[in-house]
Amino acid sequence: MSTGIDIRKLVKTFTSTKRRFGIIPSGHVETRALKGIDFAVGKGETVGLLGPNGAGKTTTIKILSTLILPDAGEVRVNGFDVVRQPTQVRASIGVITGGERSVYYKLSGRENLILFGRLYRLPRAEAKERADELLDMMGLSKKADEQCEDYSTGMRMKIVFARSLVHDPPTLMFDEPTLGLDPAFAREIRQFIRTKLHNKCILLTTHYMNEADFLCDRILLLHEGQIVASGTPTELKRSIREHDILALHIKGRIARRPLEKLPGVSRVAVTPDVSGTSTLRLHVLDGAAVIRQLLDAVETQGAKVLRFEFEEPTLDDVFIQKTGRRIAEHGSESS
Amino acid sequence: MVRNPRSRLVASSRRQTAGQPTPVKLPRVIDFSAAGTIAKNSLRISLRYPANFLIWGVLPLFWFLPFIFTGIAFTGGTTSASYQSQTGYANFIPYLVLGWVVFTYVDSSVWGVGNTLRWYQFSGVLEPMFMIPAPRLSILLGAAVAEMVTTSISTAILFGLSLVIFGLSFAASAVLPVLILLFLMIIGFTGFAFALSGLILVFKDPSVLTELVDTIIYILTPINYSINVLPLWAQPLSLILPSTFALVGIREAALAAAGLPQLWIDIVMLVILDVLFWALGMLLFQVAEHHTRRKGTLGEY
Repeated sequence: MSTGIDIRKLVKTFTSTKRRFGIIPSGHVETRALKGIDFAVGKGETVGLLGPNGAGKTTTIKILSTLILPDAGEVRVNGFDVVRQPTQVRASIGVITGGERSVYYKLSGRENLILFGRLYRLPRAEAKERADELLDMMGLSKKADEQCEDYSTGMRMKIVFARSLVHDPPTLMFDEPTLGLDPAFAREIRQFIRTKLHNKCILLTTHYMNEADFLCDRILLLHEGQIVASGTPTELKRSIREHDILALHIKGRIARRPLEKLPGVSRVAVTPDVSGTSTLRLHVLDGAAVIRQLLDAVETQGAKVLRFEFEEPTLDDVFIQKTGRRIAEHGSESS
Repeated sequence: MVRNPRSRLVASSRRQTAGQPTPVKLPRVIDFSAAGTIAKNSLRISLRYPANFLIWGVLPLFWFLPFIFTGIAFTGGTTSASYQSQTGYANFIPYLVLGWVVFTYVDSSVWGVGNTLRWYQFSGVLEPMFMIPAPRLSILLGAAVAEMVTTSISTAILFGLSLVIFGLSFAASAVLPVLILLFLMIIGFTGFAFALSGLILVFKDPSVLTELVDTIIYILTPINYSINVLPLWAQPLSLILPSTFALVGIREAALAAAGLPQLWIDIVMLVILDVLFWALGMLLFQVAEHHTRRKGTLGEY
C-alpha cells in the first residue's frame, strides 16, 4: 500500500510568554505538543487520531497542512516534504479545520466551491462542473445559489466538506468534521466519508468514539503528544478484554479513590449526567466477583445505585485503560 | 446529476498534483493566476455592499473640505502668494484636490491589504486561504488589486464631485502621465502593504501602528503643503516615500502641463522605490509568516 502520510519522530514545542500584570514579559512557558510521534497512513486507509483536548491532534493536522512548522522530524504528504515543498503538499490535500465558519458567508455555496476550485488550479469549466457535482452529492443543489449566510450550520459544514474535495485530492484530513452538527447531519457526513471516499488516504480527528469506530480502519490514541496505543478498533477493544467494564448509574456525590482501592479495580471514571445523576465506569478484572463490594462501597459514601450493567468496551475505555483519563465528555454522541 | 466523477476527476487531479512524489511546477514567489482569482472574489464580495463605494467616494471630501475652508479663511480667496512661493501654485484648491486623490490611494494601500487579512482572520477564511496551493504573497497581491479597483471607483467619484463643486478642469494630456505615476506609486505601496500584513500576522491587531504609519506618511507627503515647510531633518524622509514623487509629478502634469519627458526623475525614483519597497515588503512578510508558523498562531486573532 503506498503512503499518503508519513510522519517520523515529529516534535513540536510551543513557547508562550509569561507576563506579569498581563503586560511585562517575565519568562517563557514551553508546551511540548508532540513528543516524537511516528505513523503512516496508506492510500485507501482511514486512520483516526483520538485524544482529549491538548493531546496534539490539531497540531499534527496543521503541520501536515503546512500551517505550522515542525521543530524536528520528517513529515511527508503524498511524498512531498511539508517544510521544503509546502505548495506541492497543499495541492495534494483537502483539509477540514475550523468548522463551518470558514466559508465566505457573502458568497453562495456554488460560488464558494468554484472559487476554491479555481484556487486549486482547476480550469474554469471544470471548477463549475465539479462544484455542481459536489453540491448534488451533498444534497444542496436547490440551495446552491443562496448566500451561505442563509444556510444552516450543517449546510455550511457540508460546503466546507465539499470544498475539501473540490480538487479531488488523494489525501484528506478532517479535524473534528462533525463537531457541533446535529446528529442527522453528522450521520450524513459519516456516511459520505464511508461510502464515497473509501479510496482516499484519510486522517481524521474526533472526540466521538462511535464516529471513530464507524469510520476508521485504524486508530491512534494520542495522549500528551505521544501515541499510547494503535490498532484497528477491534484490536484495541480486544486488548482490554481481560477487563470487565462495569457501568453504575448513581445518584449522589462519590469519591473515586475508595473505589480504586477495591480488589481488581484498575480504572474508575465518573461522568456527571444532565439530570444530577452520574455514571461510574469501572475497569475490573472480574466484575462478578467484585460487584457486591462495589455496591457496598458506593452506598457507604451515601450515594444511591440506580442501576448497573456490564458493557462492551469502547475506544474510550481503551483510552482510560492506557492513560487513566477519558477522551471526551461527549464521547457518546449519538449517531 | 453526478456524471461519473471519479475517472475524470482523478485524471484532473493527476494532471495538477499527481498525488505522488512527482513535483509539479508551481509558482514559487507569486501565483498571478491565484491573485487574479482572489481579486475577482474580493470585488464580488465588495459589490454586495454597494453603499460602501458611495460612502468612500464622498468621505474623503469631508476630510479635505476643512483644509479648503481654512485656506479660504486665511487668504480671503483661493489663491495666496505665500502658498505660491512654497508650492509653485497660487490656487490651493486644485493642489489640495490632487493631493487628496493621491492620499486616498495611499490610505487604502496602508490599511486595505492588512484589513483584508484581518477580516480573513475574523471571518475564519484565513486558514483555508492559506492552504491553497499558491505562495501566500499571492493572497496579498489579490487583496491589493481588489483594493485598488474599489479605491479607483471611490476616487473617481471623489474627483468628479470635486470638479463639479470647485469648477476645476485639467488638460486631457495630463491623463497618461498621471495614470503612470499613480500606477507606479500604487506598486510601491503594495510592497509596503506586504510588510504591514506581516505585522498583522504577528501582532494580530496593529491598528495603532498602522494609524501611526498612515499619519506619518500623511505628514511627510506634500498633500496639503510643499515639503519645503517640513523641518529640515524631516525633508529627506519625505523623499523615501513613493507618494512624494508621485504627487509632485502628478501636479506638474495636471497643473503645469508637464509631459512624460519632464517627469523622468519622478518616474525613475518611483521605479527604484518600487523595487526597494517590494523587496523589503516580501522579505518582511515571509519572515513574519515563518514566525507565525513556527509559533503556531497563524489562525489566531
